[in-house]
Amino acid sequence: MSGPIPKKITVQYDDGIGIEANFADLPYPFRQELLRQPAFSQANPAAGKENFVLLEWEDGWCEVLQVDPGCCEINRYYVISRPEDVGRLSLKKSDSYPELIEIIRRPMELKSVAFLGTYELSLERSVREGKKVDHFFSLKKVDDILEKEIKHFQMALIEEGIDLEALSNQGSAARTLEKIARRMGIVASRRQQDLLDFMACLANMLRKQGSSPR
Amino acid sequence: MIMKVKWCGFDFGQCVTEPGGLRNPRLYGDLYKELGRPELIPEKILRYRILKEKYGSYGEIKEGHRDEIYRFVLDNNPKAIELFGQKEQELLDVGDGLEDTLDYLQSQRIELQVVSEMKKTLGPVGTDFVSRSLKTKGLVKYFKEMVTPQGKINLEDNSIDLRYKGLTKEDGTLYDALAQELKERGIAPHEAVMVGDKPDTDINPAHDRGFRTIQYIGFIDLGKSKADQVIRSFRELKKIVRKKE
Repeated sequence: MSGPIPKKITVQYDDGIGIEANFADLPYPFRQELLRQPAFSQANPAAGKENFVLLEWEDGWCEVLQVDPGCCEINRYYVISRPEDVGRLSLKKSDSYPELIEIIRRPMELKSVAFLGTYELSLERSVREGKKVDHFFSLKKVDDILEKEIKHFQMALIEEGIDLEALSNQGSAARTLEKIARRMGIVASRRQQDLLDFMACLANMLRKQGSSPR
Repeated sequence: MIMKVKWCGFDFGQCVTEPGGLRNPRLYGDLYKELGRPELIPEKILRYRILKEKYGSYGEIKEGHRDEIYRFVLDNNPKAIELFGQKEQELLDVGDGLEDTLDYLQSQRIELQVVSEMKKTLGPVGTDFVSRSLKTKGLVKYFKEMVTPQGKINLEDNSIDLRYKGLTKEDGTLYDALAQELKERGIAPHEAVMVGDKPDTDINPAHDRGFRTIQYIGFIDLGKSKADQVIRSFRELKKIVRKKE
């Protein structure tokens, strides 16, 4: 997750006592969980297309998530069956340990991953180890889905009757962006703010292309 | 096909013992609950999984990057490191049907030994991971000795026969020495059988030196090998292996 970094958290008790902790001292999954909550989410206007992972399934379902700015390429995708299936998408980082994204929704049916290019997945081999099976997928680079998404965004604006230039000035920008996302059929994978940031990113890209629908 | 033998060697990892019980939620769950820091469990599991993504597999981490488990996952906490070592042994499973089969082989008066490359182990000989695991699991009553690249270790008194020192299963030199030693004791290679899961270390080099070989695919199937037999369960050994008089 990119964007502004929280520094402190305070828990206020009903007897008036408040306990403060450094945000960085909290366990990582708890920090992630807190930042998922809309109450603590902040928009990341600096997020560019290189900060988002777009996941598309065989059934057309599409999710987006924002990743650490240090992520530089897809490492691999595989699914562990135990018998429940869990997908693991790992992204290489240039300067630290990889980022690991768990895919819970139909992991064997993930069709493509878009991150710095779009890659189609196909099952390469399955390896049984005791009661679990690891299914490893190969990644084949295909035409970038992002260009299509910009066009879909533009179409959604027209269909919803929304002016691109007025989009960032609206007080209800979040609701408008959600409306566009719904029409495009994209949902947030783990944090609603990621979806809003992605939509804002598409809007910026469209502005740069200079092709406002109105 | 019935194999009549006097000696039977078993590989250790993914054969005598199986890592199926070493699931991260259990390993790190038990560990951090014992340390009184249960709130850290999800983070520790995640970090270990991230480390796997860096090196490709847990095996790779354990073979060459244990220090990183200690540093990145366990924060160099000495108590956590100590407990990690203990839990690794406790949570290892013994291969399904193995003990029952070892009872049978022992009743046949077939000599049993562990033949291990000991790649994922640390610690002085005798207190290393494999030795400690065999002792913890009560398997020393079957395996008095263990042939390894660190020497042949007597698991009862921890003495070491250094003639195996520096030899490996993969390049076959360990099997050369083993064949020579068995020959000195009146056991020809074809009267000895090696059981293991890895074609490159347990099966092919032993087969090339005249040993009978059985590939165990009950935990993992690592593909085709030169094995004389392939088994899914250790219990199948009771039908295949007999004592050569």
